[in-house]
Amino acid sequence: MAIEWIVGHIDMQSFYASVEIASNSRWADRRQLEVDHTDPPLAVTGDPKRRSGIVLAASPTAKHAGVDTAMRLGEALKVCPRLITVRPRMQLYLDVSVRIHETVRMTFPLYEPFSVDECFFALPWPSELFPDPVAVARELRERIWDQFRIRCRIGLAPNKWCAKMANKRAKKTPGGVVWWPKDRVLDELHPLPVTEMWGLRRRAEVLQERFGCQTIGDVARVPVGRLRAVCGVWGEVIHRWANGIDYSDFNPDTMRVPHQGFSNRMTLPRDYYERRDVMVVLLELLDEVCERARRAGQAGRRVGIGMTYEGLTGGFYRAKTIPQPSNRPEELYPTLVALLDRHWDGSGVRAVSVSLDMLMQDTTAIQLSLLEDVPRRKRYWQAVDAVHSRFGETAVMRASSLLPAGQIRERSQKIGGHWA
Amino acid sequence: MTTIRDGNIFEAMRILLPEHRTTAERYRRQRARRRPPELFEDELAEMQYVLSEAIEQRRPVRLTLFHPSEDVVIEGVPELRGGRLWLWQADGNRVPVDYRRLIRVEVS
Repeated sequence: MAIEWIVGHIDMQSFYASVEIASNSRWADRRQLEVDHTDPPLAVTGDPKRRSGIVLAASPTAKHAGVDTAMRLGEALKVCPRLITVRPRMQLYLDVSVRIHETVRMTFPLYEPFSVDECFFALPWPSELFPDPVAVARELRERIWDQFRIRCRIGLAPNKWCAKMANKRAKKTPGGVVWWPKDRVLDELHPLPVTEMWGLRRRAEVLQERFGCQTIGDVARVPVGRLRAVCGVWGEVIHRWANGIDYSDFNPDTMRVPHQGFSNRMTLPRDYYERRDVMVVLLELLDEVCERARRAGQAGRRVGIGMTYEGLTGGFYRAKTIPQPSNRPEELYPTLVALLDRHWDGSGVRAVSVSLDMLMQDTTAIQLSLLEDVPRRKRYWQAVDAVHSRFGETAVMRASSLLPAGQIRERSQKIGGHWA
Repeated sequence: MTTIRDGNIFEAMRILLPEHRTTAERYRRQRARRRPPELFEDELAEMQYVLSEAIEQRRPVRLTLFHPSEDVVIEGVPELRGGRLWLWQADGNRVPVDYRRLIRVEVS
């Protein structure tokens, strides 16, 4: 019998909320792995005073009471007055996540992270080491519960996409593990509604409206040429997925490969209308992006600016290629400002992003300039980076960041826009 | 360069915060770090015996000291002075020894 790979997808249940519950002995004793409602009704919410006053994660008990992620805090308290709210502690979640991922990595031959609370693994089958894939997945699930008091669900299938789909089923299955063997994948997949196809976003509506597809089985029957004509290259991907095929391989070193690009985004506490205000945050973001590039020993030739307008609708993204790769803000800033002046229509700005890509190694060879002392500027940034890594981002900062528009002081206490 | 059609689509759609990557990297470094060996009671007793004999008889010893990157081996005549352990080396120099880092004592 030929050996095949079984791919697993793990999804941590209500991850941020579960970490909070697990780290407080008040609630820990009465919790049980298979009984969701032994958790207290808890939600991790952003700062109520700021735009982030929304529910980031809610425990199963809170969800059962009607609390949902992205719900406004006031609304959540209305549907669940007993709701316990805590402020996010992002660094704690990342620390727990990395350790759980490490547990998965050490259990199986192949592993790949997907997000803070999801990852993939793969095991050969049949094999003496893993005689029963479902039993092995259950053991892992119990180990994660024993060590971290986090519930997870596991989908097993012949490839990543099907594993992700099987995981959706696992949410509704007692024991939290679902295996779709190769010969049963289509039987499981095809009756599911097209809206359940993972990764399609708005394309699911296109499939419903343009092709009249209700189930994934309907999608599988649409000729690939027709799908391609409407959805472009995605048409082919959709066709494969609907037929249970996914060619995504594993990249175990994915966390270590050099970056393809750096990009930082900031949602502002209010709409910015003044050019001088936007320029302050633009420079702060550029500083962050450049510092990340310098730390990775990389420099980029293309710098980009993205704006999201008031109400988080509309905006633009534009990028420009410069002659020499750089990771120094003073070289990239004029290009960014030129892009801003050219494409911004003056609408209120609610979110800004800055990107740097077309990266290459930041070699020791230096493009000298007649107008500035480049080696000295390099040493200057080395010193700034060293101060930042030792004493924090706000130990040295631009005077412009002290203006009312500046966000760096607040931002330095956050990870991914939430309290660290 | 991989495309959506042929590549690892999940790599392209992945959402990982830069801080996550940094945390994972730090964790990996911590795990890979060398740790000093845990010595048994009788190993410690033997080290102490060999060392005190050498101090008494002013005989040279070879000391192995733990270091996170590579263990350090030094030779010389041990001496206790001012509550500290010193080693007189062959070149006439005297070096202080951090006894907390000691992992082996041999008669040289």
